[in-house]
Amino acid sequence: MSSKYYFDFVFSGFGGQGILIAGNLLCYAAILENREVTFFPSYGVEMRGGAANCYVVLSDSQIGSPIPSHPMASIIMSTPALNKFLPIIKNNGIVIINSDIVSIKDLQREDLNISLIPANKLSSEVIGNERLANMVMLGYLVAATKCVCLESLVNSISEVVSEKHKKMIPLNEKAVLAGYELFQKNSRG
Amino acid sequence: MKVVYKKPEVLKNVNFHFCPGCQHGLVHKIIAEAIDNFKIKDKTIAVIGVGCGVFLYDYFDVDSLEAPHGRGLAVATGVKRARPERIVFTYQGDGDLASIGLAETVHAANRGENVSVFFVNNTVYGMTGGQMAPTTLLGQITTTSPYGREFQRDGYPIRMSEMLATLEGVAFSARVALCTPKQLMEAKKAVKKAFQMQLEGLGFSFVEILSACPTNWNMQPLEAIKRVEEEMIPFFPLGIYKERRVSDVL
Amino acid sequence: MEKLFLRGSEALALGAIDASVKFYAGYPITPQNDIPEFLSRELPKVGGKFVQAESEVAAINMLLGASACGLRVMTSSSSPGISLMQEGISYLSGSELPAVIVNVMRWGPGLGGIGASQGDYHQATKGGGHGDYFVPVFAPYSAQEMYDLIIRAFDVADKYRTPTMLLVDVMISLMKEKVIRRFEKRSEVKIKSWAFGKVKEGEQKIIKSLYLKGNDLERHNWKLYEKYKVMCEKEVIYESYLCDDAEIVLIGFGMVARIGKSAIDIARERNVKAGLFRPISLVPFPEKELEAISKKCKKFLVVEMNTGQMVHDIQRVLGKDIDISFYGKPSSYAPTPEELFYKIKEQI
Repeated sequence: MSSKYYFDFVFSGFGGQGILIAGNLLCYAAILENREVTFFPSYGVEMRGGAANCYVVLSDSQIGSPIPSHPMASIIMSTPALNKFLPIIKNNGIVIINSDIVSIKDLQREDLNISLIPANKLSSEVIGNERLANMVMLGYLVAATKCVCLESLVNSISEVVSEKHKKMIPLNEKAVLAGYELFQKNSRG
Repeated sequence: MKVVYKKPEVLKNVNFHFCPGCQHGLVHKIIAEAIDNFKIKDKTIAVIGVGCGVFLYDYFDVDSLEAPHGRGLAVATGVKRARPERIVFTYQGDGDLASIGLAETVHAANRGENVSVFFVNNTVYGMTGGQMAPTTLLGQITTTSPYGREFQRDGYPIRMSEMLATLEGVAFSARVALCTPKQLMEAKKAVKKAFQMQLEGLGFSFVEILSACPTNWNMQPLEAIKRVEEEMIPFFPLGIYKERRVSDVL
Repeated sequence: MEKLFLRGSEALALGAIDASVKFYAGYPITPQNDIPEFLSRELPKVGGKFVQAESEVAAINMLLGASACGLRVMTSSSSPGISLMQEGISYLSGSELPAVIVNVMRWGPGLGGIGASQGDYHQATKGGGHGDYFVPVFAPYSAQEMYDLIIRAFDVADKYRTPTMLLVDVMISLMKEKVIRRFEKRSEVKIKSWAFGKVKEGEQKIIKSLYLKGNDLERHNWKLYEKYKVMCEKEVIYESYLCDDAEIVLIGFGMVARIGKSAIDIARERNVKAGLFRPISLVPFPEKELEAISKKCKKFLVVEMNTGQMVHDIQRVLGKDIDISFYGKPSSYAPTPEELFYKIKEQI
């Protein structure tokens, strides 16, 4: 079962921010690349206070536990999410925080690779409202981790956007691209 | 020679096991006559509840399914949904239908399951040896109400025909007795009506039959018949409480 | 073959459709509601019937009625609801009626919690209802197995004329994974000659569990037992992972085995010779297979999300000479791979 290709993530925020959709989208993208995937959503008591989170594992072989104890990377879209998950992220892991929503005081993890992304602002800029901040975050994460290629990610959008909201597909693409490009700009800069 | 009476065809050529003066045999015969009348012997499935009627399949030559105590109408729901083309009836006593199976009874009725229900009310648990039933009359002595049923302790006897008649899903609800020739004629009509309702797809049909249990009442058969007339009928009035017509559902 | 990305519960419900289930009755209870929700939408499309019953007691008895008519029938519930169904499961067994019962386990006793638990192992495997009978029980550990094993559960139910059960961890039910829809074009189920057909065919059919005459019931119970003995020969399924050279073998079912596999990988990376044994059929239990492993490996660690239930079966099978330790986690949260690795290391 030992894998050459292996990633695990936690995405966390509030219900309604599209946390679970982002997780699903990443899984579809990895499936397009013939990876094994698990998606595990929060449930029960974890959902109190409106929290939403999900764990995603991508691998080139059968996945054991779908719940990583120490995720390699994360998307954080609420202050409670930051407080809950920051302490468990793997050493030197990647943490992407929506700085338009999360109040950041003391991060206390020198080892982590933390990116503060004004995802609401970026979403507004590219699609005219803040609703696709989740896609901006996801685009950034994919660029930062290279867990799937951009093309697969974009190609998967139609899998998670329902028939009813078909016209949202190009907007989702734009938001994902905006996040992706922001990472590239940051890493160049 | 002219035939003036014969055994219904659906009944097998065996003797009933019922106690002397028990009216289960008569109820069996009325149902059998109705099945003969509509020529539905091969279409009928009997769902039999636990109680003195549990051996119905020994007497009726129809496909038969035994239900756990009280669950007759849940089982009948499964049968009728699976085989809507067949005619399904349940045969249940008062403990079965009105106590342990009350929820199943009320909800099947409320869903308007297209089945026929024959409910034998003899105010006592017969098969288990004469304990208090939900239909036991106030003051009636049973093995678990040795000082007589008291409403403060045991509540009141339950009137199923009236209660079910209030439900939208019920097509037919009637209470009959078997003490006089006239009552017997009414009973036969009601049982036939119940099958007819099902054949026409009108919904849940229910016939409550007041019945004597001399053994558990500690009475002679004639005394028991007298008790039905003098004590049961005043509390459980006979009659049709609901009757839906085809035009009602069109 | 279609490759899908499905929640475990959806994979199970889809498997049921591909197994030609034609009747479902159930009552809402967390955390299994997505199964009836899926089937209430999909069953009518394939000519099946869906009934929301007034209780689990009614639901299981609706199954009894529909199964007697020869349909493939199923219900799903969660622990407290399964308790209510035990009466019906006993009657189904006694009446020799096939049915599939899905228990997405939650935490008990009583109202308990809705968190993950494996607290119903005893209830499922030892017969929660009254009388002398065995219900085959399967424990899936992936969305693919949710799909595959429900189909198997229907087949076994028909083959032996018995209720069968899927004992499901809530986490397996919630998790989404790739699923290959292997049996989409499966042929229709064979007509059951013992069941009520569209009309009475020849002799009257009587389906019952009451046997009062002579030694009829004794004969009946031995017949049920003989069926169980055949299942023990033919229906055992299990998985063994890296057991051949293992110095310690972790035993778990369902979610625990899934996490256990990760723990074994951690162990192997650190040159700890650990393996995993996973019963997939809990009834019949893979006794011979476990015994065979114990010829080489003398240390076992049983892990369950309860205070110790399956471990009694392991002790019974392996006897006193084998070193069996137990790690129980009757909590809302599953153990982590690292936690299990630590437990493995403690033992050697």
